[in-house]
Amino acid sequence: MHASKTALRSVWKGPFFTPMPAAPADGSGVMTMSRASTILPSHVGRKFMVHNGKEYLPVLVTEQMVNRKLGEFAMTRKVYVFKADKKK
Amino acid sequence: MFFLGVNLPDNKVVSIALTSIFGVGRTTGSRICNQLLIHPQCRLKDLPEDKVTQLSTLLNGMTIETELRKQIADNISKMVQIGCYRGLRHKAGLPVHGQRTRTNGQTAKKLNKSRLSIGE
Repeated sequence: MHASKTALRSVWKGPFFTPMPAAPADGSGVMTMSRASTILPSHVGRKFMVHNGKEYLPVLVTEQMVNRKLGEFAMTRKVYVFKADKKK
Repeated sequence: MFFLGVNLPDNKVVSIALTSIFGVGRTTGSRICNQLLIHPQCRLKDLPEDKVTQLSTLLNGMTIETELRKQIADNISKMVQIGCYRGLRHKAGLPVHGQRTRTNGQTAKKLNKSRLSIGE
């Protein structure tokens, strides 16, 4: 809704993406730091290791993820969890 | 007057009365009135019969009320399901568009989780 409208980019430019190398033979994902890269229809079923600023997180691409960015699926922030109370 | 299960206030100007429908704001309300040639000062109780039928057929073709609520919930649950950032923020009940959370963000806390499913 809202974000898809604000994130509009000129049509003549096409989607932004970095060309990804072929998947490595051992089944591990392609290491990438290109979080802003658009997920293309040809990426469906592939695995990427997306950098979150600290480490590479695995992202398995499904059909619904097409047209979104790789970075949307690799969280950059750690969720703060309160420490459990020792005595009850 | 009842339209699609919504009670519209009879004493108000038509374009304003229409805004009690979820999915119709001031702009859409006045646009509908212009389209159906309803006078901008006309109250809903003074609306002639033929205009009322025209109005209801027009409203039937629009995505409003339950249909719209369902559409919104669907869009959000899709984002939650694929696990993208916006989906997780909705799920956590936190602001989605990058607002601060140290203070404020109370609207999101109040609304975001309830938007995951249909209903108020």
